Amino acid sequence: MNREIIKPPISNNNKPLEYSDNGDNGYENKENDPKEEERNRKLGESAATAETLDDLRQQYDDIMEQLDQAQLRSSWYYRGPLAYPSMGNVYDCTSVEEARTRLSKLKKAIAISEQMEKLDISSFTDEEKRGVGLEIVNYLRANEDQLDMKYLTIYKDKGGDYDCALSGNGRAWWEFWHLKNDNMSSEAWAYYSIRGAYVNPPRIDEKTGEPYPNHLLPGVSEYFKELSQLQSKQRRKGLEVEYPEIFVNPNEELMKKEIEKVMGKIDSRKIHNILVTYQKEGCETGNIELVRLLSGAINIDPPPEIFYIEDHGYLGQANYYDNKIFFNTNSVKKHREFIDNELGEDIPDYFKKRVEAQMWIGLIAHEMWHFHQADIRINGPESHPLRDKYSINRMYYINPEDDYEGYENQILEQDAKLASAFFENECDRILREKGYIKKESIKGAKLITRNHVKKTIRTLVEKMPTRSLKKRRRKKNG
Amino acid sequence: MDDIIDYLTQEKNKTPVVAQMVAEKLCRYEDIKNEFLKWLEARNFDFDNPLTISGYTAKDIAKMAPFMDGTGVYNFMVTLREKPDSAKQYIEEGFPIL
Repeated sequence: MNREIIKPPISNNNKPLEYSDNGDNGYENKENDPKEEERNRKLGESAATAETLDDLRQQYDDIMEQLDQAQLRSSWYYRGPLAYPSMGNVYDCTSVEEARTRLSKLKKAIAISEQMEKLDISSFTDEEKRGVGLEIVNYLRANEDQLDMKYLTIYKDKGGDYDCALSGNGRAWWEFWHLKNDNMSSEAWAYYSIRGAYVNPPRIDEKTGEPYPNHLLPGVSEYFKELSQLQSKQRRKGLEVEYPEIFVNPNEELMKKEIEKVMGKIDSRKIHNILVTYQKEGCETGNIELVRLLSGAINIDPPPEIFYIEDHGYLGQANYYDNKIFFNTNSVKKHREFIDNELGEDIPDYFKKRVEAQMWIGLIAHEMWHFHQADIRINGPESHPLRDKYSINRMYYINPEDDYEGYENQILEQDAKLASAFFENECDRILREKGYIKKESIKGAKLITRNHVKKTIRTLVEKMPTRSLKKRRRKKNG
Repeated sequence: MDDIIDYLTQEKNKTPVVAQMVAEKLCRYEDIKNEFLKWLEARNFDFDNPLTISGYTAKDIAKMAPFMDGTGVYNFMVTLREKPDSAKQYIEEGFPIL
């Protein structure tokens, strides 16, 4: 697609720039463009004279077709508004009036998007970008009621078209849709994923009961002040400062302190009782009791519901907002097969049970810690040393399918691994105290969590009771 | 880099910040970036003379970690180059995801 390059006007005093009425500063005035006027008139006329919903739907289809012909529908700027059904799609409207309003908003969105398409933002200087950004923000804010475009973003990342791209809440909802449909996470996750980029994000508190952490990123009122005073890099300082501590090298001491504070207070007798339950009543009952115990320790009431899902992508997954915890039964099955194949008949059943129980314990402690992290993000005091780090990582979570190392290193995962290691070591300590385990040089739960197959076996073989202990047990059992 | 960021934001719906982080790693080495760009076009790992790092090709990684697409696979190639021991440990562990 050919793009007409238009240089933006620069304000000497760095004030927000207004749309030009005379067009002499290089800006094209869309309202004076005869072709544009004709097109808008046609669209407006057809919307105004439409009598039925079917007519309006036909108009909607016509607009879509026009966009397709202009190869604009797939354009980045259009994708968002068009994907958001209440922005333009009239097919789910139940009244003519509603459908007309939507068509009108769609038309406005297209006009703005076309305006933006003409700006070759990557060629602008920082000052120019700031001028353009302010101008567009002002324009959109002035038309907010007509556009549904309350939520704006100006990307100031370096390089490419995204140097200073801007979109309305259409894209926000599009992201929300995507996440929802992929079952990647709850509503709140989707909101979180956009709040960093959007100047005035959706009301997260209304949707989820989660307060919007204004202290992390500036609200819209502060934004203008900031924008006029600071360079883009400085505006992103918050994230840049935190970056290594969140994504590269999280502060282990800080995490351990929190884990000890929460998990260290769990009554050893209760942990012992659960270990006995695992041994006597099996893993399913043990899992329920363990989730209950850890929920009490991290103040999650009621405890999350456990779901066992076949072929779920992850070994385990915590969903705080729905209060659910998911486990992949396929992985567990593979684990059982491995135990049977590798350990063979010489290994007693009780030991195999222990291997399996240990895997569950590590897994549950890990997932439950994610619940704790969410609780801190949402209900924790602002002064909590990990709250902001958790929140920023949640916003910019690295998925394992994109960067496995990045996924492993980020604070939310490192922290949960430390928590599961801590809890499994507590279990080991109790087992040792009770005389169930002889060796003390156990590598511990971290290995088991990270490698639920080979290293579990390796670790637990070290933990096998000695013959004398077995004999004592046999004697005791007659 | 722009092509990669476009792909990550538009097709994979990553936020610009995450896209930037992921893309920066992918672009750290010219040879890895170039093969990733080839993948981006072909959407498969069948190349003549594929890039091999520590004995692994992208196709090998994709086979071992089927949940990854090209982005994850080539980012893992970067890990293989920079931290071969850690990378091999992940491979040995079977890329567990918790």
